[in-house]
Amino acid sequence: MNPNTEQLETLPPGIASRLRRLDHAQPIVDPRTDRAVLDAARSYFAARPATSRPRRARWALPLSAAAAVLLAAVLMRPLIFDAPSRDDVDGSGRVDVLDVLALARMRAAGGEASGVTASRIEELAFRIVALDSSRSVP
Amino acid sequence: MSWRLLQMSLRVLCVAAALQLAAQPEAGVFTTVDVFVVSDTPVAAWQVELTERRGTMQIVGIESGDDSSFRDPPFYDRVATMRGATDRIVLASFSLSEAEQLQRGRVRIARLHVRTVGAAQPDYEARLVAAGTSDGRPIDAQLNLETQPGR
Repeated sequence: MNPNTEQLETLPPGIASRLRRLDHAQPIVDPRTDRAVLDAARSYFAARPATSRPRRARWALPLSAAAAVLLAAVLMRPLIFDAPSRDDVDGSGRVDVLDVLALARMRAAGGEASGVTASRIEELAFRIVALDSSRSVP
Repeated sequence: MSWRLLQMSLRVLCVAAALQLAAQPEAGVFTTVDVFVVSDTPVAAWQVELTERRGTMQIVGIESGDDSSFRDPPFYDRVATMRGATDRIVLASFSLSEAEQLQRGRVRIARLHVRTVGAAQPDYEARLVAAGTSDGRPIDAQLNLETQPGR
């Protein structure tokens, strides 16, 4: 309970009502001051740019596109330029006698059902020892 | 007259002998080059490149090694070998035998019969291109060469 309110309640009603009217805050800013502040604020903000959004660099979009193309090229390179060789049976990245051995083991395990023929094994074996890779195998 | 005729005949004979010697191909030197692989793990497949740095090598024959698991002689470029002199050759072989049947340690994998020409000693270099176990796993192994003249 507010002690001031308690005091007013103990006073006679006429005096209390007059005191309450006197207690109301009176506006202290007169309209001329208010207009002057408003004008000053308008002139201040008029000097500032209309928008304060962050600027985007002009080259951001082309650069992003170029980066995307580069990334795609790097990711697709193994598929386009270094297509896996059919002879790289063991997937080591190069063709050597271990691929011949892998083919021979596949044939030994699966026979004709493996799809590996003896001639393919021999052909690959002769190819890996060929000194001139462009020449056909005997 | 007869003396002059005799001198002329001797000169003709000398010139003919000299021409014959010049036209005769150089016999060259025959050697054997044994290729050994050294590995604690049994080797089921190998590929070797042999180079003669002076370029005077002519392969005249290739034999299998000591491991009977490798039944066939090594694969090599027959066409290049038949052409004659070549400074290098690639050999490869494999076996489908189980690891227990394969040899380990120092094993002779091939023997090459080589003819070299010229007075300089041949300078061989062997490089192991690939070697693997019976389950196809690549392994590191060492290579040794032994040359024996005139066999």
